[in-house]
Amino acid sequence: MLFSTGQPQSIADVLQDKDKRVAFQQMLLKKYPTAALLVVKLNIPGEIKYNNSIDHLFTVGYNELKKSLFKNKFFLADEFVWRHPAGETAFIVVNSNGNDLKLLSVNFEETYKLGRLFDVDVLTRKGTISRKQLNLPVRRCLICERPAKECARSRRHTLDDLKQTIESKWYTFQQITENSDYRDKIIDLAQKSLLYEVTVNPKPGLVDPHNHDSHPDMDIFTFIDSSLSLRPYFCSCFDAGWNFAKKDLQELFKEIRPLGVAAEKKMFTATNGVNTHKGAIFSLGIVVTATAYVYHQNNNDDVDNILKIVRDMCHDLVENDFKNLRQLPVENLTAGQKQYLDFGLTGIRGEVQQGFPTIVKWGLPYLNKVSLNQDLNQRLLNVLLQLALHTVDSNLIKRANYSKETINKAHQLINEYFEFGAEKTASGRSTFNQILAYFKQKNLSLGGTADLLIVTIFFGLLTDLL
Amino acid sequence: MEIKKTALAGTLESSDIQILITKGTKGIEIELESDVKKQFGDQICQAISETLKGFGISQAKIKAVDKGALDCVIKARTIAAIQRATNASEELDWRAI
Repeated sequence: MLFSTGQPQSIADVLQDKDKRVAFQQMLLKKYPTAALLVVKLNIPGEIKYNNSIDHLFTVGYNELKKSLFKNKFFLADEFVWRHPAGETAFIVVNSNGNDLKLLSVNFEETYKLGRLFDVDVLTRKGTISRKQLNLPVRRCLICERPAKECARSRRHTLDDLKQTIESKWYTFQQITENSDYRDKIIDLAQKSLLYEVTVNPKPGLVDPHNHDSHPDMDIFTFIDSSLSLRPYFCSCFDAGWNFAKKDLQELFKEIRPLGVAAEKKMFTATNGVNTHKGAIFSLGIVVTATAYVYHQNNNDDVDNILKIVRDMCHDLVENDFKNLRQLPVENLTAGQKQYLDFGLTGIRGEVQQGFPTIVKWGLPYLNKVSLNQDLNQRLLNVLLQLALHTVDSNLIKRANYSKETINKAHQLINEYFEFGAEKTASGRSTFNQILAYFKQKNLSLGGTADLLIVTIFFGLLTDLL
Repeated sequence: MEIKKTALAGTLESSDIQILITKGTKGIEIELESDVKKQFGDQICQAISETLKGFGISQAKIKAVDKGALDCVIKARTIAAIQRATNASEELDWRAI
């Protein structure tokens, strides 16, 4: 509670402090005769004027005010902060005629979310600059719309009502700050996941910082451009999940689909028409949306909960997406659509609809199993290969020209790599080189698996496995 | 009690009142300046004159500049001014409130 601790102040204490403050202000104005003095206090009724929580509130608001001083290029000549039991006061000497400073402080009082809790006075040698002098409206009461002075004088509101209003303003503010910190965190994680994935090297059949033989039309820079272009998309996904209030989560999926289409367009603009992250836009967008939804509903980001929401959002995804495929001209079909028609493979849609079983069964447990001390690049490279072994990658199938033999050979090599003890043994390392060579020779790619790695990285970062 | 010299107490800060006491001959005269004079002028003057009476002062000129002070502040500032004007000790006599 904001007012539960602290040293109660009598009227004499408060008035004595006020006298000291006025004397100090006079001294500062004498020392800096051409400057203006900004005096910042909290507007706190009652006997408790100072404690840790009140100091926190004061400091947050005071820093915000100073930020806006710097932003408006005011020069601060001197600064003092008093932390007295009768309340905190900050004195800032500013090079200003005072009027522009008063406008700034009124703007702070009126528009900043905690501004109503502060009194920001501007003094010069000629006296205190009033709102009236600058034709600004009088200050309104904390609770009602009447002029503040009227309510104060008539004691229209009880002390408890005033305290409660102040506390609720402060708690709402803290909540909003926390929520926006969480939003920033999740969107950072989404972008980080994209950038981590492309950085892992050497990856068979994928773009990494050293090699992009498998995809001559793109390189690491294309991926950086693409990853940055997707930030607004992840923001919109987060907000859609956060604000979703209906019951049927499939509606939430319908809400974000057009966002994904728009994000693809942005990606193509950023990459000059190259498809870098189409799959990630789909799967990571859904995951970010579900994460925001779960956090807003339950105040946690438990992976099981998030995946349950993913399943609910995409309940009929495969059936809906593929139901009219046979009516489309064959040349318009994507690899995933074709493979569904020809082999009944559900690809990334199936994976998402079931709540990323490959990641749950193979990706995350593998991350959990290997020690945190191990080289991050090697861990993620191994996760990629684990995922490749256990998923049906539509991109691999397409690049293998639907040859079962080619796909089996690739899987067999990856299997051997792990059986030989992976990067820890000479035969493991030599098998890895064979994998790279085979992918290069057959021009294979693991595009679908890379998308799963991205989502695995996201959950790994979210749960501190990385 | 008698006013011996001119004395000042209080500030022009918000929620405060500045009280200037000088000798008077026509009973208690109060000149008030306040943003809320219309609504609360009588109450403010009453708080000042009651405090003066509490100290047995019947002759004084008061100039008060109010910045939205509450009654308890008005009384405290008036007492401080009286103490200074009557050469009483700096220790305030809070029993008068």
